[in-house]
Amino acid sequence: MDRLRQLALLGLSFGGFIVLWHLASTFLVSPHLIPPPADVLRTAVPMITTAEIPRHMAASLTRVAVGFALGSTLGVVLGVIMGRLRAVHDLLDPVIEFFRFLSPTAMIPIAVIWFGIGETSKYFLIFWGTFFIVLINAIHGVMATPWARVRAAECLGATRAQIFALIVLPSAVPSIITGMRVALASSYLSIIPAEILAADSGLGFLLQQSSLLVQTNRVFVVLAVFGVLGYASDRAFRFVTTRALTSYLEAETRA
Amino acid sequence: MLAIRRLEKVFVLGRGAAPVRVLAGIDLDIGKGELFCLLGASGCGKTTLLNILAGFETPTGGELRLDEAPVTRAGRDRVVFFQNADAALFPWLTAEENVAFGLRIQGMRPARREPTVERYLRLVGRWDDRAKYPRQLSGGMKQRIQIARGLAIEPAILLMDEPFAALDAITRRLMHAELLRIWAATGTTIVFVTHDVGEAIVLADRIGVMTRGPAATLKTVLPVELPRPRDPADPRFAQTYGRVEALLLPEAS
Repeated sequence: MDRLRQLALLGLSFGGFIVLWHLASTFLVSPHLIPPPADVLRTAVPMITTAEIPRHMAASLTRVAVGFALGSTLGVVLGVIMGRLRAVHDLLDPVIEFFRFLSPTAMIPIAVIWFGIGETSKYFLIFWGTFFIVLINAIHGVMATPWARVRAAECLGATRAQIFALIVLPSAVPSIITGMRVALASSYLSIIPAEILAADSGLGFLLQQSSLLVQTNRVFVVLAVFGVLGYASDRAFRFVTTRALTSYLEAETRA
Repeated sequence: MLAIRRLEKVFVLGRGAAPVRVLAGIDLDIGKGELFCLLGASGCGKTTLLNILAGFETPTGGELRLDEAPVTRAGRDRVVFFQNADAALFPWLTAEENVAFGLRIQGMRPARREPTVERYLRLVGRWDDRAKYPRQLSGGMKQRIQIARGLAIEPAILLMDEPFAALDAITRRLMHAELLRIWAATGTTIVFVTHDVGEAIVLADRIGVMTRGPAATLKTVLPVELPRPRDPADPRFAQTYGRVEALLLPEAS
């Protein structure tokens, strides 16, 4: 029943949006600026069947996946170390606080100089957009482990290594997962500018190309595909993590 | 069994701050199997004393011996029970896994630890909740799971830091009866910290009344000679209550 309600709401939300869009493009604004949904759909079908969209989508997805995986892995590893070892934290924290304000977009020019316009520069930029978010959440998760929890384990005879592996790490899981989810969204925010400025494939490239040729329909198709992709990735991420880590994630809801 | 001699604790909070002398020479002996209540106003240093007994804090002066051996760090012979069971339990483990934790980390095989886990879960009356997670249990149930978890490693001393202070009055009364039953069944030594005069009288063999902090000491150690179970409606209970309260009142700040 609850699922049915959710699906109904989803349909209503998107259905309502498409109706409004149709009305706007028919009565309010020139279809050259906002093409009607039916036109966009007509443009979309050949773009998908000729593999144009799938090819660019695959390029963007691969970049996001590689950069996100790299950034998350390093973010978690370094974050856990920094959260646990005061000295390392105090040493690295100022530098990190400086670098995290340089957005991935700000790093595009230097990425192009360092890595050219090949795949490596895109991996680097997504990594950049992911790493700091995951890092900061991992540090927080480790540091926020309740004292009573650590001390209780100590009383029960846990060694330092056991406290780390069996208490501190599980306690940090919810914070790390939240960080990764925000970082995934950030990856999608960074991939477009990176591909617009320096790429010959990917959805951002397609977007830029369509814009230069004033193909509004095609721009809309790419935007729609991109939105669906982001939404689906977030859903998939949540689905997988809640399945795999239920007891760690639900643990915090009432504490 | 537990010998505390001229125990002192000075905290230095931050560079340049004046040191705070929290405990100024505590002398106390606690016997094997005794239920000792440490009673004091909020902020007097009773939790600090308990943390030293637990080995979480090191004293800055004096001596602490458990069965003649000096206490220097936390160990499995002394288990602390925290007021906030929510924070102390491991929320990603079921009740049963929480109780098994102390045995599991010693490398005891599941088949060997199961009877112990079952025994203590039954002792606190929560065997039927063994598959539940802490978030699915009420405050009193969580506190019982915490108690079972500590008992399962069969420590020499239970150190209880106002474990029932966050529970409602009825649940607290039930927990007092339960603790006394468990204590009778296991014969373990208990140091119980509280600021509640009634709670101390219901439970204790002896009550140690602390002076106001900072620089707190033990003002008096008072034996409670009423037969158990102790009934607050009993006139002798009220009389004892009056005596203890008269000792404690000047120490409230």
